[in-house]
Amino acid sequence: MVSHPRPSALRPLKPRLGKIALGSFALTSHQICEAMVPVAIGLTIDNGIVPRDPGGFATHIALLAGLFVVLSLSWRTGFTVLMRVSLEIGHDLRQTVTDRALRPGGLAGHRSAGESTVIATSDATRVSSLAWQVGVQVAALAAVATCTIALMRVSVVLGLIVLIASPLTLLFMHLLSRPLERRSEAEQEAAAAAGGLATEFVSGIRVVKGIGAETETARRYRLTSRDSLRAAVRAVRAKAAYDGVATTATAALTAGVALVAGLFALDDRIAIGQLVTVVGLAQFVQGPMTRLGAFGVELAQKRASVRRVDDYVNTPPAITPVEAPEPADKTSLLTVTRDDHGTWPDLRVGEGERVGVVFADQADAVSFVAALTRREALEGGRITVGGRDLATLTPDEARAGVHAQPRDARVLTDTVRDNLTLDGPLDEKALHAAAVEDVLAALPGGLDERLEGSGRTLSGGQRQRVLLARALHTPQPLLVLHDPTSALDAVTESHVAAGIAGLDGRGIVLVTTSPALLSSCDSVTARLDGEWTAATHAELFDSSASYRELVGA
Amino acid sequence: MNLLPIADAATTRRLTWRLLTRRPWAPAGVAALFVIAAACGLAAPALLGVIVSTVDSDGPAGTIVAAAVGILGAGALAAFLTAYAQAAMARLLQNALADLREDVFATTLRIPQASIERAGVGDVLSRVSGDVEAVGEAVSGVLPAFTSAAFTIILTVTGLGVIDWRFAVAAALAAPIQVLGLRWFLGKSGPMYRRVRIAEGERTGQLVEAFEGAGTITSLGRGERHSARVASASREAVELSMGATKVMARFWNRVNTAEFVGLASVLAVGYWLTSSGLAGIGMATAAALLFFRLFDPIGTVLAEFDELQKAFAGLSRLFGVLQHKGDPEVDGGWTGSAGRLEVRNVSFSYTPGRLVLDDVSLTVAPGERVAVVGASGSGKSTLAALIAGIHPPGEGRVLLDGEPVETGRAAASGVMLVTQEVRTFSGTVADNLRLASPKADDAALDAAVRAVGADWVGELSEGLATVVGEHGVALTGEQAQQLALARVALAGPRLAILDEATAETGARAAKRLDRATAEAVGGASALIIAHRLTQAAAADRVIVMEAGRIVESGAHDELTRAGGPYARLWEAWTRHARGTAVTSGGSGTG
Repeated sequence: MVSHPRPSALRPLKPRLGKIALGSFALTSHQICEAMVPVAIGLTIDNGIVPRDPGGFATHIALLAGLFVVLSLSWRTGFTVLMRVSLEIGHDLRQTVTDRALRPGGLAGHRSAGESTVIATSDATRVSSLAWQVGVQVAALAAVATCTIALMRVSVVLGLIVLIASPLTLLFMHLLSRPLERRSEAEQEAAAAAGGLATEFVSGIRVVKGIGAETETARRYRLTSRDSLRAAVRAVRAKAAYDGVATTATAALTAGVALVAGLFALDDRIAIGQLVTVVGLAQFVQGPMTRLGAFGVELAQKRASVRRVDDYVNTPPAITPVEAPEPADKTSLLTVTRDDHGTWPDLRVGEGERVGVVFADQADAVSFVAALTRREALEGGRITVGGRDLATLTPDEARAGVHAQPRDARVLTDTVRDNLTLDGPLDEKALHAAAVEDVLAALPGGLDERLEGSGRTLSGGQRQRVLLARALHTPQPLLVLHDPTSALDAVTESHVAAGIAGLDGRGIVLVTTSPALLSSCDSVTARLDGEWTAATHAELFDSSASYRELVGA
Repeated sequence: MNLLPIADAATTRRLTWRLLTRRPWAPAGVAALFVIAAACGLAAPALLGVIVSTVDSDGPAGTIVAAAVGILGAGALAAFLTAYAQAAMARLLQNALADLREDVFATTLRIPQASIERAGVGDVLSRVSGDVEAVGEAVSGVLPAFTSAAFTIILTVTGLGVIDWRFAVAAALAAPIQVLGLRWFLGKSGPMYRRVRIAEGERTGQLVEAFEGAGTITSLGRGERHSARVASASREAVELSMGATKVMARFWNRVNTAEFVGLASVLAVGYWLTSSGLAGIGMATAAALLFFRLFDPIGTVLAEFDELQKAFAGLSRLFGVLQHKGDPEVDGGWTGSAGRLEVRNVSFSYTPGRLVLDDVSLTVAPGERVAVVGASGSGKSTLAALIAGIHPPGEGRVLLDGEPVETGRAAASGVMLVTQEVRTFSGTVADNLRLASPKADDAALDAAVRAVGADWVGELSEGLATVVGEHGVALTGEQAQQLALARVALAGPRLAILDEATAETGARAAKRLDRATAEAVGGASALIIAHRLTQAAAADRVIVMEAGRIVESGAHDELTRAGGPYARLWEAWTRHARGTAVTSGGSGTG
């Protein structure tokens, strides 16, 4: 028999079962007290007002006061305990999802940041509210049971009428509510469409203003806004109609119960206070019954969230180390052996060497650098880093030998200093080589300026220089840079090329088509007409028209 | 940060009132419907009182049957009227809301770029999407129930008074506790919820940072650091939410206290009136049941008050946008052919004391293509923004054929700017192209697409009608830039300002885009902010900028021979291209 592992998403509930039980107990006590309020009103009428007994009346008001004290305290306890538990569970789940995303080795299958954020916020919150839901359901069950007992004590016939008619009414209302859900979804979709359009146009307002499209943009927004208006009116109309039917059904139930109870009271089968109790309970019991009925739908939504969190947390890593024979070359910082398709070149990089690699297809360049960051699997070919086969290494082991900076590397929301030095000492030479001094001079806070929103306030060129300076600060013996100067103007680029050339020590691989950078390399390997050719930049430039075209001259 | 204005409470109330009373009979009619509906709702407890007094006085069974039928009939009528009133109110309010959000959006687009940048796009965005959404949800979700409940409360208290005024007084004893409780709650919860929202925003920010930057973060070995940041932001949000929870728990305790005080008082009055013969058991019962039925509507009003207050805050931010004086509307549709651009002694600074442009003068003759070259930070893009009327020049003038280019209205005089920021909007390819030329027919679109070499459009499943962007086909950077250029080709401006960065797309693509740019500009005058020197070499004239000043101007060949800054740049660039070893960096021009 295959045992199914307990869903990871539910793991944070287990150590908190005691607290969930306490909260549920408190909510149950609250619901019972609520159910007892009409009973207490009936008793006060029967034993105080009808017999005109001041002692009886005072006693029953005191009892009512006691009931409200217990009702208040138990609500407060249940509410705060279960909310605390829910928030804690949500916190734990959020952390689990975050840690999964930040585990080296990446996630198999692409997950957008937006999707991950939804899982870590909405889904985690939905799963965590299970604790609250459990309490509410237990309490609703208890309330229905209490009402049943109270009604049966007054009259078995009346009790049966309420207990059979109420669920039937609720079932009828549930069936009616289906089209309502569709309307409400349509309303939300239309509102989201209008909101989305507004967001897009406002975020792109520079573009809109640049081409003078303000009037046309406003016209398009008006169209979606009117769609949203129509959907909203339809949805409210449906909801109002539904509420109308629901109120009528309640009125019918109340009228029926009042009729039967009134006739019973006329026959002296029940007392006047009991008549009040029955009518009150018939109204009250619909609340907990509705909650019990809605549980199925809510559970279904939560199951979907549990599954999404589970899938995310249990996503296998994009790469797993495999066994491979020991490489022969143990001294080079990097060796690359080409695969059958020649996607990658044969390469050998030693200490202090500068090697340029020119890919004909940018997608190949991206996957080459991604393989070196060890967040994407190697396919074909062989790479060794510091004399060890990359495929046998964990991401952290690989990272000890090489720092590869992909084109889409990000500035982190931190101070400039944090971004550059990564807690190490500041390297003036690296700052100069990356031409980042201008950037620092332009920032009011200099090195201590916080780069909000991943450096959104920086221009593309400034951001790229910060990233380059950061890469130059990393300690690994081998550095791989992908298009590190693509957003720089020609003047700054030539400064950077000279700066990189002037650094000593580590091996550097430049994956680029920039002539400025390539001319500063000791050797360049380029894919020309399908074949990898290695030489210096000058030789390639003079001998190959394809090369000249690739580097954009 | 310099946020957009927010309307004060009085202004918001006044403007809301004006918005709602555009057709004054409509709100009056809706209110009347609610009153009648709530009055019908009162029939049930009153008729229960009748049943009780019939039982008490051993009356005929027929009365009980009649009363029960009455309960059903009044309930059904109340339900129908409430539904009708709610639907009518929704139509009224939703229409007003739609008018409002459209006004806000149209005004937002006309706010000068500089104000938007000072306010932060976040502030503007949160108004056109977040606030509109919050108000919309309140209008369709909270307000119908709130209104019904409010009318029910008013009518029930009136009903109690009709039975005997002393019942109404007894019930009113609960009111001070409720009002004070609500004031206490709103005073506490408002700032608390704000702090919770800020903490949750911070938490989301940290999550997005971690998820978007996961690759970078792990490659730098900083996973634990970011995990700890998410944890502390999340912990902060948990503790603040817990604080808000406790406040809410105490608030509901006060509501319970009010319920007890009211109920006990009504019962006591019932005891007193019945024992002194001023009222029957039926009246006492009806009063007690009426008050008991108030528990739910009072809960609704108190609970939703908070939501309505939030919506009111959103409303004041929306009205705030309308208070902003926007640029005049751009009607598009210029006439005339290639224009003559004159920039006379223009200076500009974003922050006082830091001149980004320093006394810049230049002329672009009709049909001339001028390239501006300079290091980043030399003022190229700012110059482009000034000429395109995005920012007003601090000093000096920008003239097109002798007429000043008005800030925010440049497009009306036929000036078009293609920014560095390339954007495809959700919609079809044709939608994207027609932004600048709404009336262009498909043949014109086809021609524009072919002119910029965007042959891939023809290969899309539905051609021009293919949906692109977030909900459709994702375009590459190069494709998006081609569409941006096709917009220019389609609109045929008198002056095109091209500040698009072609560098990020690789050498081959850049060449294709250079050709597309030439085609798109056609016969128009053009100012090209050159991000690559090949762009400069292809232009009729080159202007070199350094530190906000023009240091050189002339044809490419002329400048390369002149031995100035441009010649040094060009030499450095061609030297790389030929592969001569670099011995010194060509710095010093930035």
